[in-house]
Amino acid sequence: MHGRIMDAYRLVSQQDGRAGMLMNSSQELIARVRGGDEEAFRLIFDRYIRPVISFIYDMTGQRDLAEELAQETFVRAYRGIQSLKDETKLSTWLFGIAKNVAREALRSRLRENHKVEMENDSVMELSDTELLPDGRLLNKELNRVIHEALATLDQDRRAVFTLKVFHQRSYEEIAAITGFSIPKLKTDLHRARAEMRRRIQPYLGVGYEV
Amino acid sequence: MKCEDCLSLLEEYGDAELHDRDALRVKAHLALCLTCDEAYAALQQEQQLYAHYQRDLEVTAALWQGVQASLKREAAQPDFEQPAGMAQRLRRFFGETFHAPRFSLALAALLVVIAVGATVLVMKVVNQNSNPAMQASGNIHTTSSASSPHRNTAPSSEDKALAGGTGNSNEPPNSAPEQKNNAVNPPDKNHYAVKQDAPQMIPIRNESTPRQTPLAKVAASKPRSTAEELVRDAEQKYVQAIALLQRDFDQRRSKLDPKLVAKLDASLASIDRTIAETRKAVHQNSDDPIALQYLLTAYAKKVEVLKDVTAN
Repeated sequence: MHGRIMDAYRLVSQQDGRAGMLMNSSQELIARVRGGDEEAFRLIFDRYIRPVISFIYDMTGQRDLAEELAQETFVRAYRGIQSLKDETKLSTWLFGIAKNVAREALRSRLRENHKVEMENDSVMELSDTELLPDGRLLNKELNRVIHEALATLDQDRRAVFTLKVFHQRSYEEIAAITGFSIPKLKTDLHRARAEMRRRIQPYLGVGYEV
Repeated sequence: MKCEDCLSLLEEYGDAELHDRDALRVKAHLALCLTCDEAYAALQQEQQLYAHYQRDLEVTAALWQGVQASLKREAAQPDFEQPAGMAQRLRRFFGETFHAPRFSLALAALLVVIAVGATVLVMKVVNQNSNPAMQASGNIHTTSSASSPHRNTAPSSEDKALAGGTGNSNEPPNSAPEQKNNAVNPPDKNHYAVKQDAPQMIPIRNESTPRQTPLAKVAASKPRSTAEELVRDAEQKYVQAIALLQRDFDQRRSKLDPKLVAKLDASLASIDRTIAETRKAVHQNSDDPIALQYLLTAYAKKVEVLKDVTAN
């Protein structure tokens, strides 16, 4: 019994559509929030905070900043929930807000000449040198390499790459979130993959060129 | 399929973004070409590697508390837009529409007088061939707003402008259909209403009269103030004018650009929703001057939109 409940909960936390069949659908939650139900907004927060904060972290590279910006994302979402036209696309809408919030933060940091600390030399060292994999790919070192490799991508490519590779968003959804055209996001994604591949090459078992 | 073509589609194939036909072609090529198949395997391995990327982020209760605190802080500020409540939704609607979300009662009344004046002109033109008594029903009658029970303070400059601008007709307010119609009709309390397929006003029976407006109900249930009479008259006029203009719009619909028609329909539907909501608000609280002013402003907006369409 408990196992079944947990299975249901796992399904709920995966996608809007299936969630609707098992628990509060996004549409229901949005309607409740619009009616002033704070608890419904709490449910939306619980459902989406993890992907949202991950996405912002990938974009900014800083944990504290990601937490702060994730909060800002949900505050803006609450404020603007009346403007959400398609209630079936709640997560896409939230990612769109998160992308804007992250971009604004990065822009203001650049303006203040506080370079985002993601950019450091260790990534270059890794890609160029003798730090060969020792057989344990999925370790902290690899996480660090990916994290730092992400930092070398420009913002557009980073957003597209993160949304596709880490969040499995469709091209259509990425276009809705970023505002990019499909051809642009395809190009960005291809280039981002190539750049990332170059960074993580030592950790891949097979060397190849695509 | 050539290897070059296959490799160029490989990422999209892996992302399941290819159309079925292309996906089948790539799949068939991969089954035959070892080089491309290896490239695809490498791509999958890369994807697997990314799938295990861990960010070491922790979602704590403090995050929600932070959001909650921000929302409460904003709620305490007067400008904060809460998602709940009809008043907020109305304010947002009118804020977007007129870029002036808050009107005083006097200003709203002034808007009504201006809009009703324009409406009366339209109706006069339309009713040129009607009998004199009917034309009289299109007149607007106003009295000084100084006697409004909603005005407990000294009149503002807008109040004064309103009092001066509306004139002081000695005729009784034409807002009570029973009174004006009794002069020309049998005592069966026939009302005037707009017939949808004819340009002139015709008398019809109570059963087919447009349903009594909330303001009319308010007026019937208690002694009316001057302001109430004014807005009730205006509402009646708006309803009639809208029916006329809507009919013209419907006739011209087929000649207009479909995209424009769709936009207009959306705008009109939005205004209709607002009218319905404000009607409800007025019904629930007939003494609420804000609800009254929003109701009339919504009518005015609809008249304005329809006039723009039919004039061009």
